[in-house]
Amino acid sequence: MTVTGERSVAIITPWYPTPRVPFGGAFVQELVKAVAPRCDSVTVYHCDLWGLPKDLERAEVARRSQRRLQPLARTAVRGVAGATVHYVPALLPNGSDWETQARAHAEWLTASLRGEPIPAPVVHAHVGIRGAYAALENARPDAKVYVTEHASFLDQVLAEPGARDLYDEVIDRATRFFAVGRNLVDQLGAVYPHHRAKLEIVANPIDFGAARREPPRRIRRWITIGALTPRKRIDYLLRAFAECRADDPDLRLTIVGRGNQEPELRALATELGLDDAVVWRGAVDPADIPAVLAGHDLFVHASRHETFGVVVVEALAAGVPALVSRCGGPEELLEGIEADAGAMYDVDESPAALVKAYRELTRRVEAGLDLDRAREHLRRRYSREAVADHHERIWFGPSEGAPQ
Amino acid sequence: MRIAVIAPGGYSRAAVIEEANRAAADGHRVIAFVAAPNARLDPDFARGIELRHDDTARVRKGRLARLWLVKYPMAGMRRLQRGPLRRPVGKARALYADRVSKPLSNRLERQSRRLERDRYAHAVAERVRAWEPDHVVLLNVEAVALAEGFLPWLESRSATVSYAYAGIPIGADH
Repeated sequence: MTVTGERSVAIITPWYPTPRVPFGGAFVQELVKAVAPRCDSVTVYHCDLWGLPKDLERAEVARRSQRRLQPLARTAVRGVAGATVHYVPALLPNGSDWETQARAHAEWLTASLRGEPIPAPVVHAHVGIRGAYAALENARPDAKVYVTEHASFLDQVLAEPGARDLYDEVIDRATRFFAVGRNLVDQLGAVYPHHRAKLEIVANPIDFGAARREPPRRIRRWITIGALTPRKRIDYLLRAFAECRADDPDLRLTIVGRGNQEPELRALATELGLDDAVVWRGAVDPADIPAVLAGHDLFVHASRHETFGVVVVEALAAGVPALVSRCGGPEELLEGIEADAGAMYDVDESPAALVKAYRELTRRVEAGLDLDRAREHLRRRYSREAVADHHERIWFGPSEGAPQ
Repeated sequence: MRIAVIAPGGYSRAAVIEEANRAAADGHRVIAFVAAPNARLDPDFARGIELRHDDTARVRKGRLARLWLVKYPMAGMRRLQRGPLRRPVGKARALYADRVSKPLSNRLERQSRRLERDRYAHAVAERVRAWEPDHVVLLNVEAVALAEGFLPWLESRSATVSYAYAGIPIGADH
């Protein structure tokens, strides 16, 4: 496992696509695609949580077996853009607290590395409590360790005293510490005021390669993308859609994503008389998302809380206006371009908020939105090139002639 | 190469199929150990993949103890409850259920499941050894636990393991 070159980078992440969760951590893979051509090598260590059996005896057998398997384990496979991916199961009891999870990730990564440090001089960890602690415990003493926080569950982590202390240590030990949105920076700054100056923002990269040829003049084909879980409020969206469709029976809604709430949501769609109007696409390969979006007129987001809102940028990158709830991340994304990009509405229990925003947007779309301006504004911040430039400057310092 | 893909229970069958099919498409001989048959998805395994389901017979330990210490006493007390001693017998029955029959049933159930697991682990270990894989893909924590049964064999053969198949792992082909 030798790595040569000062431009060798290791990425430590608890999320990365696997056959079981094919689109998990797709944004980390996007980042690898963006930065790999600029590095001597990129090695991804994907520490994946594997829940141990409840039976304590069986759990001990699994732990023991896993330790003995390490000398035989060949975890490295070839990944995207010439990167190497190490798949490292982190075995620990289901429902463990965040501190235990962080320590287990670090411990299993150490076992996988057979006690050797991560060879790369630059290490970038994703997610503060799991990826970052594992990175810090396994990096070479002279390595620079950067961290990006994305987690929408950060409040749960910070609510646990053990995890909160460990997180403090992580920020302290990291060379630089980033979050993907202002709301995460604010959240961390409130808990760790002594680290406020160290908290910075870095973006996730978005594919700006494909877009609609013409901006939509009527917004009848709606689309939403996300896990079918309560946080995404697809039930709210269905109710609002049903109200809007009462005025315009030609409205259609495509729902992309899977989740535990799907049966309940399908039943609700039937109850609302939407069976003919709603298409359930299931999970879609992230690479196909721009094309799927471009086949629609309006992206609708109903989330209660988002740290970033990748899919909002993806929609605008595909030339599709967005109707988005003010749920955290998107306000920051659309700051200064809200009217050009579509519309925002407050998170409210009544579907009337979305319905009202949609009706107003319909009138504005007919007059024409400046989607090109919105797209260009976002491209400068979130395109693969822009995000790769930023990471290159973080890891290797500014290069001659490079934009600052 | 000869590759064994092991994913007993608790793992998406579609993902096992994808992993095994990729290995087969790369030209390897593949055996897949999975849980119970899945009539809808199993036909998606590529032709040539040897498929082994968990065919361990169900174990029911303590048949006599269950009869004499659980079934008969509980049934007897239930019958007595219908007569004039309804309340005291009801109390005695609840007490007996809490102190004797439920703990005994649970213990026998745990022992039965453990015996089933041990038999399955033994059967898988025997089949893996007989099949002589060069590389073993362990797709879940149960597979890691099962691997203990054939670890000495793997070590003696310098066979390699990985936790996903995404092309032959670097270094697994020696």
